[in-house]
Amino acid sequence: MNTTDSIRRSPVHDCLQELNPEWVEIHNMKVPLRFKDAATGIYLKRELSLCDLSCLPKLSVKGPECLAWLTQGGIRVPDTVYGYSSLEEGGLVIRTDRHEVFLEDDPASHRVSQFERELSSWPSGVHLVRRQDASFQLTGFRSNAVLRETCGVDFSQPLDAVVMTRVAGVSCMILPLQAEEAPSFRFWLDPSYGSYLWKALLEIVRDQGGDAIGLGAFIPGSDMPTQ
Amino acid sequence: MHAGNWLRPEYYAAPGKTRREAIAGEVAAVRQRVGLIDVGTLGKLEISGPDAAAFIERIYTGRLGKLQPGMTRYVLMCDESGVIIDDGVAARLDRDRFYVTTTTSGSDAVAREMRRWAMVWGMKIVLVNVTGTYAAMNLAGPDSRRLLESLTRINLAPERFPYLSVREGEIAGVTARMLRVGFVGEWGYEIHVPADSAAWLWDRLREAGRDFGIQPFGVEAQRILRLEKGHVIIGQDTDGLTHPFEAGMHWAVKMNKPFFVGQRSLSILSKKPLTRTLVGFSLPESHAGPIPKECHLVIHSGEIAGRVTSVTFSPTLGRVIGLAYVKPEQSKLGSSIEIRVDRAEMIRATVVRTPFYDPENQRQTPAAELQEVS
Repeated sequence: MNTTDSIRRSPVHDCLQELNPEWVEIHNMKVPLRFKDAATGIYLKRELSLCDLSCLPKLSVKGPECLAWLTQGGIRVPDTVYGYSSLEEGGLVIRTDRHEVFLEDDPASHRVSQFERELSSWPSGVHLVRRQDASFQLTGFRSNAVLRETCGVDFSQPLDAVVMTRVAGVSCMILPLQAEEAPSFRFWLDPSYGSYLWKALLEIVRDQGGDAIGLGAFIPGSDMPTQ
Repeated sequence: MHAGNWLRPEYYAAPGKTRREAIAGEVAAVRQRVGLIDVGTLGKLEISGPDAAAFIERIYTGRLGKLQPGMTRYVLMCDESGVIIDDGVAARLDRDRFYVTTTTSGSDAVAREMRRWAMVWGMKIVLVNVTGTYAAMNLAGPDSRRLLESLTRINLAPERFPYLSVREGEIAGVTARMLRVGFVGEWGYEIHVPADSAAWLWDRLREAGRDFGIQPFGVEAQRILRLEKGHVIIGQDTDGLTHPFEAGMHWAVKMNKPFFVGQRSLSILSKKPLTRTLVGFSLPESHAGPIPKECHLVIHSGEIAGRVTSVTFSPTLGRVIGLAYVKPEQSKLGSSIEIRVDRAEMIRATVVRTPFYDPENQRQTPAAELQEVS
């Protein structure tokens, strides 16, 4: 796999490069597989970690006909605004407004990429909006300590919906993930602010004893400690 | 350097060259070969839906409803009092889909204002602020087309991709929108790509441009180039009270449209005599004294008549050029104006025609591609 010539580049690529990771290419983007040994990655993921997930393809579908059109295409759209569900192939579906749905692939699925290729043949009343958000995941039992320092929303109680808020002064969409083994929070934000927020969050994560982890920690089998 | 919320390259330091020499080198590269500048800080909006054309016709002062798909037009935005608040380029991608650029610091305010008007008018549009989603770079200079041809299958022949048109396709494997516009006054392409692919494309353009002597250029060179071309920067050459008639932008205002924001006020203002007008001025090539700076005052009969809004030494023309507000009676071509510079010294400048450089827009004609500026 050629990891030196990826067309796509994370908005926090330079920040990641400074941490000297082991790279892998996912969705045409060079991303850190791990920064330290695999066992440390697993430990950090459980305790406190920050991971860049900006490589995951994403888009929004807007317009008065978007719900019907997505449903017809086999995508289960949440009934309520700010509700979320999973893409059948892997990935997320978030209803961000009455007539707006956000879709994101996971590391192995390609549904969003497919949609983008079909861009020219969208029906009336359906508008595709290309998304280039920076996207991070804060994971671990001490995640809340980081959020308490940076965000006005109380995430200590379970929330089953996305939250539109500000983190360290940056507008973000945050999704608390209930299904993970440890508390996890996904962030999406304008990529122009990616480096700033990554640095701000990582500094606090490190203050709390955590660190950056690679995508390997989220891909089954890729981050197992060597026997 | 800071530009609104952004950090932008002021110029690219060159070994053994002073700041001024490096900037002059960047200007010369654009005029004679090819240059590349990051213009990703421009605001970018997508406006689509059945009312999109009618909506932007109401928002901007120009006539856009009949703009053909595949074409672009300069757009000027006023508030209800007729004051200029923003400008940019509107590209019609298809019948119901527009891509509009705004000034670097204007995107949030313009998007907010557009959303407000869309609600007030009850128009069916989808408006998305895609400023962070798309990166943009301007490839400009007489060699820009030949360079770009090596990286794309899009037909760049002038008859297929004429001045002021927009095309979508791939460049070096990256999905791109290309606008053939000329802010710096040379044949060029403003290339908009998804932000995550910008670094890749920038590197490919630099590689492919090596044989053409490509030069990245910064904000300072761009300011000189645009001033040579006489282009106004909203917020620098205009202030919180400037209306299009005093900024010399009558051409961008179509008063006979049924409606646009600010039309009523501009209709009243158009019947009143101007109290100031923006003119181009230059100093003689032989000028050896102090050079005016932005905000230096224009003095007329012992009173303040206006101020300098932009000024620079033009390496292309070999003299100092600028824009200034003056009393209307001072605006005749060839008039002499007095500018009070540092230490209260007075210097004389001459009112001249703009654009200072290429007034007939010859650089946008096919013959200009292989021509170098002497």
